[in-house]
Amino acid sequence: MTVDLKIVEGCIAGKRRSQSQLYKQLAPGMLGVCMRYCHNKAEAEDILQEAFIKVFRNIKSLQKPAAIVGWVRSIMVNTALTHYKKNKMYLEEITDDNIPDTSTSDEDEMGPVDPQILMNLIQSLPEGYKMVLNLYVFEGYTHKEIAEILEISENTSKSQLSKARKYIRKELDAMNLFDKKHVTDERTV
Amino acid sequence: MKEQFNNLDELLRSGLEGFEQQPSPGVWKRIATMLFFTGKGFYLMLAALLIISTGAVYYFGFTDKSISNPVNKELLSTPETGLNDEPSISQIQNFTESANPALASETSINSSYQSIDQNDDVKNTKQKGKAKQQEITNPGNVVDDLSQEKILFASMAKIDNYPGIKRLYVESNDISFNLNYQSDIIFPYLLYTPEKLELRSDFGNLKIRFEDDYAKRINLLFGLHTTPEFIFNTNDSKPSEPVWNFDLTAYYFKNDWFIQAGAGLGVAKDNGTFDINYAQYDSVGYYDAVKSFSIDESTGAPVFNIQQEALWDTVEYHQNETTTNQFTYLRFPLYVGLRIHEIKRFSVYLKAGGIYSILLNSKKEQLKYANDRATWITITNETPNRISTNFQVSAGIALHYQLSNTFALSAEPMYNYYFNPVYRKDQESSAWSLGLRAGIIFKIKSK
Repeated sequence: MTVDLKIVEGCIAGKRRSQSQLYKQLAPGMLGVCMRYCHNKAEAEDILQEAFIKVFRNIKSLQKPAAIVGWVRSIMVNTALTHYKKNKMYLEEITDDNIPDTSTSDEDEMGPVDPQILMNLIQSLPEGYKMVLNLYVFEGYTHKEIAEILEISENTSKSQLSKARKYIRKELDAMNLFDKKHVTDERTV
Repeated sequence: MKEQFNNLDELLRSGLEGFEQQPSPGVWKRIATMLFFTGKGFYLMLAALLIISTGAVYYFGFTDKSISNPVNKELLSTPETGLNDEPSISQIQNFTESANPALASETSINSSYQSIDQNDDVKNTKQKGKAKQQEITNPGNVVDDLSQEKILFASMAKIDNYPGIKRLYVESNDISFNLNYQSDIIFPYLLYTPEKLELRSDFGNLKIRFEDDYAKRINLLFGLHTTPEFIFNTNDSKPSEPVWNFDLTAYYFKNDWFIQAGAGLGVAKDNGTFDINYAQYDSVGYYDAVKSFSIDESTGAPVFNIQQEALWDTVEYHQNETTTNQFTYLRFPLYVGLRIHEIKRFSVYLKAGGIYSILLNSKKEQLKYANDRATWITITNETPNRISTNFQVSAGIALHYQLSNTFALSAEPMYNYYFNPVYRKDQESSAWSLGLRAGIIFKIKSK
């Protein structure tokens, strides 16, 4: 996705019309990002609103107007994380022993799944699982980085990711969306 | 672990990268509003409002146009009365001014337009604006032993439901100057709105008409109010904890109408709700464990030595906890009102308008939950987020009781309808509230 540089320049100049144009162009995609970090659309819209206000207030600090999409996206993610940190109490996994072995075979075949179903599944995850999954899968952070961002241990990050996957897997299984060739290890235990 | 889940990760990425959803139309409106209220435009507008308010206060509050207003004299100087041998009002005015120049130059009074018709021959002089008229027929009391001047001075006008305290004061003050001999009659009326003001004379049927510039009154008043407000959600008949609002507003009166605008703070409280999930190693039951056995020699049957043992496992628990949160709103009320009734010091108004609120600060209590036995704990904050801006329409009745020329008490039962829900919560409809605005209305005294 690219944004007309004139729009970005207009936003830098504080023009409301340009701000509106930028919002119209980016908001649907950014709401998709926010929704992955939230329980529902309403909550995601709150984050979207807060993030766009940050975008317009700080757009003068944008050094490369061509990179505005990535810049806006990073503000969305940061705002979602701030929102999460404000609300979270703590998420603690005591030891690795508590991490259930939920490994599945790589040979499971996964067909295409409706994005809305995937979104609903992610939204229904507990907060901690959701954050770790988003940061790991979509933002490409390592467990070490996630541990620093979320102020948790690496083990906790791993266990949250593991549980998130397990949960999604289980729900997708329940929907018969996988063509199972192998029984998961979990079921053999 | 990472490698084991590549397929699922790829599925998620391919499914959700580029996922789009159209935001609600209200999101951009709220963003634009917030940008406005935090931008230069807002501060420029505030500065302009401040300048206009200061100018208005100066113009309407501190300038006294009556100081050199010749209208009083003009109005009191009536044409020929038909009673040629009697002194005219203008003569009396001249007499009294010369008798007491200090009083004649009294500068603390405002203008009032007053004319007195004597035996219906006296014509009204100039009127300004839509002057409200009070017409009184002299009761004809005779005071024999008073001089002509004294007789006039002893006159007392009777005005029913006089609407303007200040105006009456002014008129009374004018007359009191002429009625030094009967000041005890007049002066009691100077401090409050009289129900009746009388002018007595022994001129027979002295017809007196008072006109005030009631219709021209423009007053700038200020109100300081506090409002306990009970909010009801339409899907929940139970009111929440009251919201306490405090506001300072300016009233701009013109005739029976007023515009009221200002700013204030609202403090609301509600409960935060938290969903706590945790697992702990716990007893899930008992079983009979065979510790040993022996053979019964008589029967040859085994005898088991059994001991009850607890069965332990990791059990998931679920519980809810609540906390108290406090929210502070910046409020901008704007009302239009109409005076529908006035008697003595008591006035009744109908008023309607709107209040725009911006969430300034959220003070959310942190949940303190600890469980040493838990192997893992997940706490989810399920408190719905409050909307950062809100608009409500408001209507009600305002009851004002005038304590003095400067202060009045105010009580205003109000109904408010919130255009958008207080909370960001799915399927929650708009809320409504009942509140009682109570406070004082005051006037910045002119010099």
